[in-house]
Amino acid sequence: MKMSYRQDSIRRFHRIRIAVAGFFIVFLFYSFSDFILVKSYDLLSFLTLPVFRAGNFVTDNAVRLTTLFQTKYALTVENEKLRSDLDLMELDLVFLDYLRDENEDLLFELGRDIPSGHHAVVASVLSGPNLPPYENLIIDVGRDQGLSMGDLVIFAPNVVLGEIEQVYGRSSKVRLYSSSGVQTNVLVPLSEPIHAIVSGYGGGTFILELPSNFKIPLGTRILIPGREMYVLGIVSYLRIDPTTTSEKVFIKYPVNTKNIKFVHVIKIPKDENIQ
Amino acid sequence: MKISNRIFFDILLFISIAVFPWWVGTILAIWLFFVIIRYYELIFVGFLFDVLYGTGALYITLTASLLWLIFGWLEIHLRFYDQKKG
Repeated sequence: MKMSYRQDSIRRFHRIRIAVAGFFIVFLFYSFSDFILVKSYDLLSFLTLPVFRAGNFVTDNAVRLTTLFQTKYALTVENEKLRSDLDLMELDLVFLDYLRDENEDLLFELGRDIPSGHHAVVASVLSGPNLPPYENLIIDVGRDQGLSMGDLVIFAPNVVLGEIEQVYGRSSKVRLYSSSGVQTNVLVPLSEPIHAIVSGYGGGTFILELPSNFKIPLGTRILIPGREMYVLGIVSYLRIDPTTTSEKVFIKYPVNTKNIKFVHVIKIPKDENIQ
Repeated sequence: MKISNRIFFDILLFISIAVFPWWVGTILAIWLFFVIIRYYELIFVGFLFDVLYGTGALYITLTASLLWLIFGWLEIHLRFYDQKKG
């Protein structure tokens, strides 16, 4: 005997089936998202890494090509400006070398050696922070070069950018400290230095909330506490909230993370706390 | 759209996601959704963003899946019918 069903019952059953399947897929993705992402990146990396490299090559050459169409006068002006910038930076570098030597001498006097377990690896940036919710760099060194999760990524000479978040064979993902929601311990070098926690605000910026009686001048360098005194960022904007007597301090990286080509990865021995 | 054209646009989309800013790939994917019938690649685009740039969550995949449903509903309800055929 042939069974017959009402059309609306069949439709309802179909919808319930789709809803259950959808829920199951979302649950699977939520539970195993880390595993799925790592395995998929491993599978796709043989395709994506050459595309990243080719993209960087084309972008760099396109920038060079535009100089062909600039006038001689504009190039001369730019050249002079760059030369004067370079002179200023060379002065800064001399001062920096002096400070580094002095710091090493002082540490020696205090009886503490320079950390010997730290090794730096130079890495090329394959892809900058490209997508708003994720503020990551993809670099071209990975497990094969001895990198591991938690290694510190700096932009020479002493600007700290973030940490290695995921390591693959020949590439790694770096989570920038400015990623939304990432909290970092910092040292604000005022007349009486204060320790604080800054929150990543996205777009290479951070936010720090302090009582408004702390007077932080614009341009103050915010440091990562520790022997090396890495610079995290500079204070770029202050906003005092009169209703709560607190002030919001906006900090930004001293470099534009979108234009970075090379970084240094400091291999941290695993028995050492980073912060 | 022919399958060869669809594959060509898929490759173009993949390159744009890897090389260009995120909004280039997103605009291209949304445009293709309204040009190609049953454009499941929109969800894959979200997944690709998560795989390439994400670290541990599939936010963009879920967003793309929701967009796929919303755009699918819009496509059905905003379809312009041929005047001659009535």
